[in-house]
Amino acid sequence: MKNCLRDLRKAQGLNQADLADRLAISRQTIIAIEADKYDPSLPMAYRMAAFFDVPVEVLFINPWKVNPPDRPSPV
Amino acid sequence: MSKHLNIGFVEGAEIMSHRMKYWLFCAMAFAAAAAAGIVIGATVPAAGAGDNAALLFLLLLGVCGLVMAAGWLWWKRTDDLQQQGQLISWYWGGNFGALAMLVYLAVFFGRHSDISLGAIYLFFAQFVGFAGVWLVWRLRGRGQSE
Repeated sequence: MKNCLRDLRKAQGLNQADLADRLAISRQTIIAIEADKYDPSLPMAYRMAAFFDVPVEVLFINPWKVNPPDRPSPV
Repeated sequence: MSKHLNIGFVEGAEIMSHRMKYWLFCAMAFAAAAAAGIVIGATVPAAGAGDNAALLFLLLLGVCGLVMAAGWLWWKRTDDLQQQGQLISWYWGGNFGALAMLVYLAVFFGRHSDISLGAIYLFFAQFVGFAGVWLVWRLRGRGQSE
């Protein structure tokens, strides 16, 4: 699932290991999500969104919603 | 201190990072398994059943329970992705490896050899364990049907 985790992380000045430690998850998981290779569970998605203080749908782009032109088409 | 410290994401992080805890509990799980191996090696005869085999069996089942408990402590510190990696690898890799060894033993030592029968018992035990855990998982996932 497309997401802006990398952008939000960099905006906070965190590297992947720092963010993983703050969220009590593995760095491998951060890398996989940023690379769009893994979709996290709903609790993990909410946890990440809470950490960055944004709604989940800002962090993870919902491909099933009607998309504005700059959003990806549904998978 | 970051604002994130106030919302419970990094409790205890000043003392030990999540990564350090993860590897600590991982090492503890391996150490528990190694210790159990030593206990089993020291208490079980090399061949045949010893005296009080039933009692010894129960005691060693308790030791196995301790090993699983140590593994559980580590498992609680794994995240979604790591758990998925373990589950997929154990299911597909573990089952294929066990099946390949079962076929090897049957072909080279005979279907009714002691070693083949031992492997078959182990496979059955694995299936019983799977069925028990699957049943608990299924029951815990129940909800109201409408």
